[in-house]
Amino acid sequence: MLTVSGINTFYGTSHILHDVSLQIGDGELIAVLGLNGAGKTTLLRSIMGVNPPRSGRIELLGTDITRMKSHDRNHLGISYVPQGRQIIPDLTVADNIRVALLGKGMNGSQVPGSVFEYFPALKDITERKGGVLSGGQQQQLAIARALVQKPKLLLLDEPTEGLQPSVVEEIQEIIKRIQAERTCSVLLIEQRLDFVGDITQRFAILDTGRIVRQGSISELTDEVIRTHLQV
Amino acid sequence: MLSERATTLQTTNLWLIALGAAVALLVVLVATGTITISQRYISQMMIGVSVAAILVIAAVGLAIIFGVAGVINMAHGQFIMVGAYTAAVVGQLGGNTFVAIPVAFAVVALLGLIVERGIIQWIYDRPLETLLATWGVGIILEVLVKVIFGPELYYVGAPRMLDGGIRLIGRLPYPYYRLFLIGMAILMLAVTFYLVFKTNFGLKVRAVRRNRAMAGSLGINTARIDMLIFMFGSGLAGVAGAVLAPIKSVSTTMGFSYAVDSYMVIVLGGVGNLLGVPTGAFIIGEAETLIATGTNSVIGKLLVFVFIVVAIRIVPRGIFGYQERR
Repeated sequence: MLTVSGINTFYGTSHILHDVSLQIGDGELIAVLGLNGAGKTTLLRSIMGVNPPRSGRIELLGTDITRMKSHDRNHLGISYVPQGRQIIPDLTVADNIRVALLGKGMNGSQVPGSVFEYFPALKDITERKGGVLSGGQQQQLAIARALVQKPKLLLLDEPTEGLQPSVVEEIQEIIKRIQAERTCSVLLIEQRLDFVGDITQRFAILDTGRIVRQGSISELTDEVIRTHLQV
Repeated sequence: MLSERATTLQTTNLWLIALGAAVALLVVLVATGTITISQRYISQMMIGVSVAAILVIAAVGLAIIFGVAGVINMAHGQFIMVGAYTAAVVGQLGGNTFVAIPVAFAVVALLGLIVERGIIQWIYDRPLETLLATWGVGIILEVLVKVIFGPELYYVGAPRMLDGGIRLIGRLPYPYYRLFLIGMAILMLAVTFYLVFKTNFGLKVRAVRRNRAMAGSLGINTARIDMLIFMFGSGLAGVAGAVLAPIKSVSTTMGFSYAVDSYMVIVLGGVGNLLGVPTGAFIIGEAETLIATGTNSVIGKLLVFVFIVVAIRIVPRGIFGYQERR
């Protein structure tokens, strides 16, 4: 599905990602772990093209997308749920979803009912402005907006960050469902190790911009956690 | 961030309510005879409305380019001038203003396309450079037009059906052409509002305006949206030139004063909301006309400048403004 080979990404002059390589198979979910500032978000932004890498290569289904603009990557099948959710605040819930449909070149005349199957909570608030939603509602909307595009690869940046426990569970259920139905491949950034253990077989750890470990979840030992994931 | 947005919303509503209340109070006071306004002031206010209409016509193209693409087009006045020259050419070929409007839209939209693709697309994220570059474009346009058309003034007549006027109040007739300008201002605003708020294209435009990176990640070709908006705003400047040509002579330097007026309108009105254009235009148009009635037009203009400077102190982002970009 996705092959990232030796990418180097910069913010201005500061070198954030160093020779990062990563692979995701069809329908697979991989969790990217790491402390704050390790470069997790930058990795997703590099894949999405928001911060393209300066060197290295990113391939999606055999197509070189390294130099592509974000919208072309999206059209090839990558959908993105960014940190902070990035809902368009002055558009309604329905319009936020319609923007995603139109952006992908799909029929955006109305919101397909299937959205509310995954996200029943959104059904009653379709005419509410995105900016006034609660964090949990915004997160559901952000995921709904991505899934409605029928992506091949879904990038999820800390979808449960800053949410209350009951909402965290709801979001986790949705991710489990995506994974169980093998709707698409998922690259998930997550801090909650218990949840990661629940949902995936594979992980990768970023530490100061380098992939220091990757492997199956059984290799995520206490020692690895102590070395790379604790301050 | 959320609370900040909520505050902006409330401030906007507060302004609207205050404005509405002030107008309502004035209407009640006049209707009940508590205060009397002399006929002279009423007819001046009517003229103020048409001045506001001219301001709207001149500013709406600038506002949409600034609001969506974030570019202050310093060549805006010259785009209006090119529209006016287009109307002059159409006039010499036997067409009137109604023919000139679509032609000027097309010509200046094409000019906008050339400027956007040739220059602006490479420097969107560098505001100072877009200022300088568009200023340069303006100078080039003035020189080019002078080379092609010569230094003499051109006169464009109003369509014959818009000759004359109606007698509303007092002895001075209200020219039909001023009514036409008011209609054009409303039409240009309506078309822009429809495009931005009622079409799929407009939905994408609003997404790009609020969050460029996310809009791109959702599959929207943001560069294409910028280009189309630049074309549309330029086209509106062309229309402005075509309909404003009959009220003044057409010259290569005519754009400057319209550009200054347009910048004042969007500075006062704010670019966060398209309603800023008619609001800013109405306040400036009425203030300028009414102050000029008591004094003269130079003092009118001067006091309006002072008023805007004071207003910027109170509402730095304009009446409807908010800051959000990239």
